[in-house]
Amino acid sequence: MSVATAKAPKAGRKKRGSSGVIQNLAAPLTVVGLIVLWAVVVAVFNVPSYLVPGPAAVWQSTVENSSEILKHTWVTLWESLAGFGLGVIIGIPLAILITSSKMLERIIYPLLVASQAIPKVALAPLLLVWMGYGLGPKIVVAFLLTFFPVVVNTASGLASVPGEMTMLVHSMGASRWTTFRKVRFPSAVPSMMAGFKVAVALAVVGAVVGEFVGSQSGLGYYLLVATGNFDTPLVFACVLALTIMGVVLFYLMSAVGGLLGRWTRGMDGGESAGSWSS
Amino acid sequence: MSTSTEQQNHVVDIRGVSKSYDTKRHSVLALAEVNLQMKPGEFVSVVGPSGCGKSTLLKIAAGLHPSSTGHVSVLGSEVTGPVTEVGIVFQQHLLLPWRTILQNVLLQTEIRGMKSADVKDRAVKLLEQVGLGEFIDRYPDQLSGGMRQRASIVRAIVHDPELILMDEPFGALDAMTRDQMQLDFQGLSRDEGKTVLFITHSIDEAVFLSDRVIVMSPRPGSIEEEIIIDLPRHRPLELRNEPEFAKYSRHIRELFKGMGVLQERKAS
Repeated sequence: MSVATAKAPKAGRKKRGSSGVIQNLAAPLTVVGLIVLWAVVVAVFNVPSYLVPGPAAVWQSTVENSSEILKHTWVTLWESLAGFGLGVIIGIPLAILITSSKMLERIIYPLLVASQAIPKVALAPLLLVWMGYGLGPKIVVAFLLTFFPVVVNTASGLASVPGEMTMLVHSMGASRWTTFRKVRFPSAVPSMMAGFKVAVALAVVGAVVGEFVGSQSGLGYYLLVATGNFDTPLVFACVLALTIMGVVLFYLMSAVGGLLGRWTRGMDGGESAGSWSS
Repeated sequence: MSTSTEQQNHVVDIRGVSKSYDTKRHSVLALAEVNLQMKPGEFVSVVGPSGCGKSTLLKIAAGLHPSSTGHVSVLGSEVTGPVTEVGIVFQQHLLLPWRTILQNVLLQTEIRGMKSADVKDRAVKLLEQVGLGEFIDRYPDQLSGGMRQRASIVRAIVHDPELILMDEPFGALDAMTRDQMQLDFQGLSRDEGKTVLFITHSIDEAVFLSDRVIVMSPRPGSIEEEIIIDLPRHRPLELRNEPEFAKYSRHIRELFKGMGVLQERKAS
């Protein structure tokens, strides 16, 4: 009987999310509906193409410029992933430092918050001066946007272990390192993955901002060129490419989380707290 | 010296232990001058109202909280840090969600560096004994609350400790599961011959399981009375209906009434 009470809510939630053809088709249908609406509005109100092109015009432009778009997509993708990777490589150790001692937390945390208060976009021109027109400034802006969600989520995951769990492993004679390795780090994985999902989308934003300020390639650059030529369909095509990149990266991150989920139990949807209690 | 030999015979020896917490303005006394000695194989329950410091007492005995005054020794040695010769069960099962039931039990031996095959055999045997034989490869979220708590009890005894410390281990379970757990655990602790310090807020649970019940007063917690439960160690559920069982429960209830913890409303 307690099986039912303990498991019912979770199972119920999962079912509601996945069952039913309608629910599976809801998202694609919504997208199709919006595209149709877009086409209808543009046609009915006779909107000129240089202001808002219809979906057909955007698609045509995408096909015509596909090799150029693809080339610039790779550049932006590379910048985003490099920035994201840096954010992870620097963010995780920083989160571990913060949660390992009250003193370090008191020193690092205000700096971290201050670093977030700085508008990163405003730093981009300065980075350009320092690092030139290459990939450097874009990667750095992507990194600056990325690392905060990584740090904050990892830190909160590391801090989520109940005090009594720590006591329990201490009574087993565990050292700090053992406690970290066997309990704290794996406990933080769900929360870390949630942070990564936010971060990877922000990394794309960072890369594009970097390209806007000064570059010779990348979707941000191509988008500016298209705007300069009043080639609005191409601008939309670039935005489309960026959107697809962001969505793909987000779901890729979710998929990685899903794979880890099979390995680290009870982390569906980052519900680490739920799996601890009850 | 007679006191030192006496101390060595006690599995747990708590003398003059107080605990106060410092808040911003003032310090709050949680425990006042507690003395408690436990003989080998003895099952002692501490029963008291919420916030009386009974959990704190257990954590002090385990070396997980420092005491403000007094001395604590466990198995003959003074407690200065976490005591490792114990098995602990808390109210929350605290099973790691990414480990199977067996892996969770073996966390205990893994951290202690006990790696022999016997350890695994013992873990499996104990899990079978508590009815989890079929579930050793399941994950905690696939089990009921009662089953999880059984696994957490097995984790606390798999390394064969002398002393088991339990902090309201059945507190989060429904009444029926709780009865079953009390029966099962009674058998388990008797077979294994362990010394058990058991914290609970249930008077019946304390009387049912214990050789001795410590009744604690509200904050600042101190020992109000110690009651030896002079009933055979093997206790069936029906014993609860017997007058000699009811006598103990009633007596403890009267004590709580006297302390103002239990208050009766006049019937209209």
